[in-house]
Amino acid sequence: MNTIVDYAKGGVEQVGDVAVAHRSPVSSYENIIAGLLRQKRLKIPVDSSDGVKKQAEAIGIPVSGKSIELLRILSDAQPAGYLSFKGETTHGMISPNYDSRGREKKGTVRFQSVLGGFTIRNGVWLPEAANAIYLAGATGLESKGMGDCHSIPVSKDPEHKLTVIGAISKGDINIAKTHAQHGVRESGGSVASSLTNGQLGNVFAPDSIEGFSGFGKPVELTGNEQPSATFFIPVSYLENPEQAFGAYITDGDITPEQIVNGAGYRAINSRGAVIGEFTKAMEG
Amino acid sequence: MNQNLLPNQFEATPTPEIQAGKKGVEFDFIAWEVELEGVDTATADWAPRTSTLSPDCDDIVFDFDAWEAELEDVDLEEQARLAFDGLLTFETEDEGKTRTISDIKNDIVTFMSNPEIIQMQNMIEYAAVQFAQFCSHNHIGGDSIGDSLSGLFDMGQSLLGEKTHSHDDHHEHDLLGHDEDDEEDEPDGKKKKKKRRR
Repeated sequence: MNTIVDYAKGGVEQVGDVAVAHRSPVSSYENIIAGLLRQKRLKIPVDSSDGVKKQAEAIGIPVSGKSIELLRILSDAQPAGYLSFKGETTHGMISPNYDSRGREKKGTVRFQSVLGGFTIRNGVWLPEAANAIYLAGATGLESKGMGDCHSIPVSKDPEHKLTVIGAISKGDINIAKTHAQHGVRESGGSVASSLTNGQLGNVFAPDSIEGFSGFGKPVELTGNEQPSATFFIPVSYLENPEQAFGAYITDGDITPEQIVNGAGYRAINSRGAVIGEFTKAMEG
Repeated sequence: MNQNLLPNQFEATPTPEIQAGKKGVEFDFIAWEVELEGVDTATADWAPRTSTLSPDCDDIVFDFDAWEAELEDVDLEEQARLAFDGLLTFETEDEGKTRTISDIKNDIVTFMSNPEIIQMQNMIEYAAVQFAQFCSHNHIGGDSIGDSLSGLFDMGQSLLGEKTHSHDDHHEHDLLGHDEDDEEDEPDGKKKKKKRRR
C-alpha cells in the first residue's frame, strides 16, 4: 500500500538536505516516561465497531502549576497526545516553544494539532503512523536552532524551504522573499498550519495529500488557560514512544522534517508548479 | 528504532528500559560546552543525522512527588470523562470478514446516490445523445463505429428513443387534454386506467 510517507519520499531527494534539530538522546526521556507510567491511569470508555464496550488508559496532565514544567521538559521529546481545551479534544503533538529563529526558548510549550489522526486497532491505541511522522516533522520545525537563516544556510533550513514551497503554491514569491514565516510564528502560528490554512501557502490544503488533510492551529500553553486545559497521553503512547514521540520517530535515513518538506514539494509539483533553487527564491 | 514506518505496522514492543524505569543517560555538558566554544556554527557541519548533544539535557529531572501532591485536588477522572466522551472508537480488524451481497448492494446504492456521480451520469448521457445525433446526422450506422464506441452509440440511441416517446406522449396527451394517468369512462360506466406507453 502506498502511503503518504512513500509519497513524500519521492520529493525528499528534490528538496535536498535539511538540517536536523539538535535533540537530547531519546534515552534521556526514559526516567520521565517511567515517572508518567507510575501515575494514576485514567480509564476511558471506548465504543467498539464490534459492539463491545472497551476501555483505554491515559495519563492526565493538567496544564497548570508544576505541570507546565513537566510539559516543557517533555516538549523536547515531542509527545503525541490529546489536548482538551475549551470543550474540544484534539489530537496532536507537544513541541518546544522557541522564538521564530530557534534561538530563545520560552517558558511555555506549544501544541500542534493535526486534522484527522489516530486509530485504535485491535485494542492498540496509537497514532496513525503517517500522522505521527507529519506531526513529528511539523513540531521538529520548532526545535532549537530551526528557522534560523544565519547559523544555518537558508538552503538547509526546513522552515525556509517550506516557506518557498508555500510561496510558489500561492504564486506569491514575496512570501519567500520577506521570510514571512518568522512573522507567522511570532504571532502564534506555525509554518505547518500556515501551509494548511493558506496564510503561507496552499500546500496541505485545500486538496488533501494521499489522505493527509493537514495541520490544525497550534495552541501556546502558558498554564494560565481559562478554562483550564488538560493534556492526556495514552498509556500505550508512553509504552511505545518510537511510535508516538516525535523525537523517537525516524524512518531510516530520512527525518520527519524531510518528509514534511518532501510531501510539500511533491504536492505542488504534481499541481504543475516549477520549483527553482531555494536560496534564490529567498533572496529574490 | 523503527526503520520502516507504515500505518499501523509498527513493532509494538515497549522499550524494556522504559518499563524498568531506567534513568536517562548521563552527559557532561560543562565539558561539552567548553569543547564547543570557538566552533563557528555557520561553517560547522550543522546538524548531524543523529544528534546526541543538547544543552537542554540538564532539564531532564522532574520532581514527580511534588507534582503528584499538586494533583491530589484535581479530578482527572472527570476531566477524562468529559474530554473523551464519545470520541474514541475501537476498530476491529476487517481481515477475514466476508462481505455479503447485501453489503455490496448497499455500497452501490450509496455510491450511485452521490450527487457527483449523478452529475457525472447526466454528463455521460448528454454526451451519448450528442454522439448518437452526430452519427445519425452523418448517416453513420452503429455497426461501423467499432466496439469501443458502440456502447455509447447504443446508449444515445436508447435515450433518444425515450426522449421521442416521451415527447410523443406529451404531444398526444396535450391534444387530448388528458394526463397519462387520466381515466376514461368505459361503456359500463366503470373507470379504466389508461396504459402507459414505454
